[in-house]
Amino acid sequence: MAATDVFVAIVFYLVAATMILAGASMVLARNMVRSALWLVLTLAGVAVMYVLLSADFLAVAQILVYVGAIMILMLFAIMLTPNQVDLPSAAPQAQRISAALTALAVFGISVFVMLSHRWNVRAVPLDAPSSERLGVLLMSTYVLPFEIASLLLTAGMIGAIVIAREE
Amino acid sequence: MADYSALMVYLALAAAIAALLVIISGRLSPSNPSIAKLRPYECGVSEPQTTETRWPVRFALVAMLFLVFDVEALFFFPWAVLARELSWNGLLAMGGFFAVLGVGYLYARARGALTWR
Amino acid sequence: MNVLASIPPPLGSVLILVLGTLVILLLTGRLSNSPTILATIGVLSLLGAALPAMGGDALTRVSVLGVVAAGLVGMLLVPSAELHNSTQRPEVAALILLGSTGAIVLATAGELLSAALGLETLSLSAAVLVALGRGARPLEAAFRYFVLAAISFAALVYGLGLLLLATGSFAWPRPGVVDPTYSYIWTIGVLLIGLGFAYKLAVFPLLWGPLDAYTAGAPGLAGFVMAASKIAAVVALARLAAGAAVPMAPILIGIGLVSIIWGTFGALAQREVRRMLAYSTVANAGLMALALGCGPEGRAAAIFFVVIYVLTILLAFAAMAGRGTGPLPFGEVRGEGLSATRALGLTLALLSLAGIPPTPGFWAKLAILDASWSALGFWPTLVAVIGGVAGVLYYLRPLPDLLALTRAHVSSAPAPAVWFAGAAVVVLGLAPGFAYAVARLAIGG
Repeated sequence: MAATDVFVAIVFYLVAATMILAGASMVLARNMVRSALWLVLTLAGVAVMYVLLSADFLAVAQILVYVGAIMILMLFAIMLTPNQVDLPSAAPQAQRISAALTALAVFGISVFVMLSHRWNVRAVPLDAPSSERLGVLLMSTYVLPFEIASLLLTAGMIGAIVIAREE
Repeated sequence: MADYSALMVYLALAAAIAALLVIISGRLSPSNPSIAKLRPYECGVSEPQTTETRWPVRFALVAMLFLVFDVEALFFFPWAVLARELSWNGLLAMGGFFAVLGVGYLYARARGALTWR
Repeated sequence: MNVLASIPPPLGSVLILVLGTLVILLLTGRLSNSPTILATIGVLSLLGAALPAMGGDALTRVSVLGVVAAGLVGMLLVPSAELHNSTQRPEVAALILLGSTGAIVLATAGELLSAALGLETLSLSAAVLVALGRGARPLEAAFRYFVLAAISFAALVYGLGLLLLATGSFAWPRPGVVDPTYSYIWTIGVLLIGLGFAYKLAVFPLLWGPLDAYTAGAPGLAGFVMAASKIAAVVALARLAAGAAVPMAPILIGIGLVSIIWGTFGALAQREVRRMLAYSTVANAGLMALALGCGPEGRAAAIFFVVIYVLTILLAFAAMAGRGTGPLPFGEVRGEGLSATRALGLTLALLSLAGIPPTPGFWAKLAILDASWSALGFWPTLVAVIGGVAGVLYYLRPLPDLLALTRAHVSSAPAPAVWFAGAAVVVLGLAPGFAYAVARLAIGG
């Protein structure tokens, strides 16, 4: 076992443990702002996972979009509604049960897929930057979804502007 | 993983400096708290209201627009690293993407969404 | 010229719609106060988008023409739409075009990644269109619609990931290509994708958001949202069921039957026209889901049904447009002061929805019952028949008042949307066989 393998393994388990801890804290935190900050930690952990998988573009995207923009949006949304959403146990019982069932179903499917899929395990860690290949795919095979993404973003922008206009 | 060693060193340094600052200031500063000292403003008038007020919705609008343009900027990365190889097809694809959101930007300006009222 | 000729048909339609959207967005400031020019630009882009589709295959033609019809009715109603803020008409027009684009992409996309993005574009446009209606209710309804849309979209994306894992591509599922080791992963993936599509159809477990959106939005815009979503969802589900009959067909039949029963009882309990139409749409979605699970004949019947249903519901919403976003109680229809044209349009729409011959709704229901009978036999067909007969009970309740209104001479502004949708319904009533033949071609039968 090479030194890098040991290093990767250590980083993986450290980050994975942190993510589980942060994810649980996010759900259990009583204060919405704290929940959001725990979520930042979880999402940052995902970025490290992408780095370990040699998915450099996704790691950058994760930091820029999720840890950056979406968390800012989420914190603003929490602050737009003070004392309305951060009441402890505000969710009705039925909603909690259905949320738990949904989470359980997602967990079950994910575990099943992980165990039943024949993963292509490589002897050496992947060490090829993925941005180039992603760029080629986005500009050739997936050029149509890529362009439609711009329409989706435009629709989102129009929606934000018309709904947030104060008059 | 050699490519990321610089990043790792950077992250480790950042974590170390942050930890160091907290530890040093915690160790070195004398601590004898009193009620007056723990208030946000140690002297002068006390705070007129709690910090949990409703923020205007325009903050959310700015955050939303930031998100849209952040994602747009992000899509430039995979194109930029291969701009030469992708040649005209790449430029056309990126141009179409940029044109739609560029019009979106002009629209946002025309609607005054980018001015702070 | 060669470049233009080489663009595949749906892409040409999409390009024209996007161009129209961009023009409207660029001229937003100037178009705010000239609704007629705005609607003209919108109508021209929609008509332009219909042209390239004529060169395409039957699936493209059905999807594009259906969505364009929905867009046209919505666009004709833009100048009179009941908005919270009347300077926002350009955005409404732009969102109708964007929503139509999303619906066309969802129905005709060559792979599932585009279809998913098209669906989300449609959802987002639809939610904002509902939110822009006058009053506080549309905003709340739109919020609920959007949150549920986001959840079902998450399920769709998760399913897309599983499908990618099982097959290594984003292609529409096809029978017999999946490695047996991955058949469970593939099945779960297909079901989750179906869940995402089914939300747009508003079948049983996924109906709370759409129900509120159809009831609370401005009528013209709610009609567009409903029509564009349904036609795209039925075509997408038909393509999914064609490629993955094993997990999809029994599930579709099951949720179809539950939706028919649930929607029928819900509609019977209503006291006003708009909510009755919203509930009855669940029953009709159930009929379509049932047919989608009945093999190629059933899928053709579902596409035939959705085209007729969509045009009829557009006529109903167009006739109710212009009178506000509030409810229209059965007892107060007469006092509503609908003009003779609108009352006649609503009467025709309700007769067709109830399935009274010779309206096209009759042929649509017959096609579905026929497919269900030959594929499933007595009991499921009986449920569908009872749902259809009960429809007569709730659809025809406002009819006497409406007939009285057609004789009263209430003057009102011209209603081009009512004329357009009414003409489409009449044409379909005269030549249902043609539409059915196209529907059969569309599913490749």
